[in-house]
Amino acid sequence: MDELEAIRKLVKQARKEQVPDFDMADRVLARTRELTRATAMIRPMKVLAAISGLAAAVILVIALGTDTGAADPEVAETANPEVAFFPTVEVQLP
Amino acid sequence: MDETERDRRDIEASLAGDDDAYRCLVERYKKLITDQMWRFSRDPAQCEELVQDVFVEAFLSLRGYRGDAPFLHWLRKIASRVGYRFLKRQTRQPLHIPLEDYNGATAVGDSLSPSRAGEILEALLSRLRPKERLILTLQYFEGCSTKEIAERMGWSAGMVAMRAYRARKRLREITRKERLLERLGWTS
Repeated sequence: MDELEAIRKLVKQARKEQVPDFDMADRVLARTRELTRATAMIRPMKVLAAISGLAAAVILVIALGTDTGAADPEVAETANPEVAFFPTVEVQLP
Repeated sequence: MDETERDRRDIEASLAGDDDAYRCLVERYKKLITDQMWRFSRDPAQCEELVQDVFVEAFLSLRGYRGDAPFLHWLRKIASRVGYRFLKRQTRQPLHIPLEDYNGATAVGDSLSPSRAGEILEALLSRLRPKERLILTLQYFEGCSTKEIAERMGWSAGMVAMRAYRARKRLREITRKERLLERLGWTS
């Protein structure tokens, strides 16, 4: 007998095997309930995280805009009309 | 009411939060899924855990079931993937079942008890790589074609065919090396 033929014979025999019967519907439902509860708790946290992320992004954009002017003296000068149009008067020393 | 219609009604009710409807689906298909998962683990506790995993995963993906194919086909696809994940985990702690235990396993004449045959096959298949083992398990025990396995696992049909060929070749080598035919008294 060929090896693969022997394997096929074993398979044919093994397919007749009586497989144990498990009563696990309650455990499956307990696990799905637990997961549903956990998902329900995570959802508001996700919304909260998204809102705080958005707020952080807005603050970052505002801060960057302010910071750019402050960091560049030329920009800061032109940004202030008083400095741009009325330059400091030169004081003559006696 | 036919099976498909019953399934559809229970799926809709389950999605609406009816636990009893999902219980009906579990009860209806647990035997067939247990039969399938038994080929991945013959340890009753482990097998039960795998069957539970299949139904839990199915519950979580229930909204994704479009109803194009029967519910059982969809469940079997999930079961194959759960089984494959289990086989991959097993490779981290290889389970090498010795074949010495099966000396003279043939009880009377040419017949061998189904559970003994199952044990021997598990011992042989446990020596293959997870992908190869899965492919042969699906071919031998579920009669799946190359195309069906490829569809279930999301692999290419060419890859499945090549792996199946290699797996059979390796299985033949193992059987020869372990002198299984002599052990079983099937040499003639």
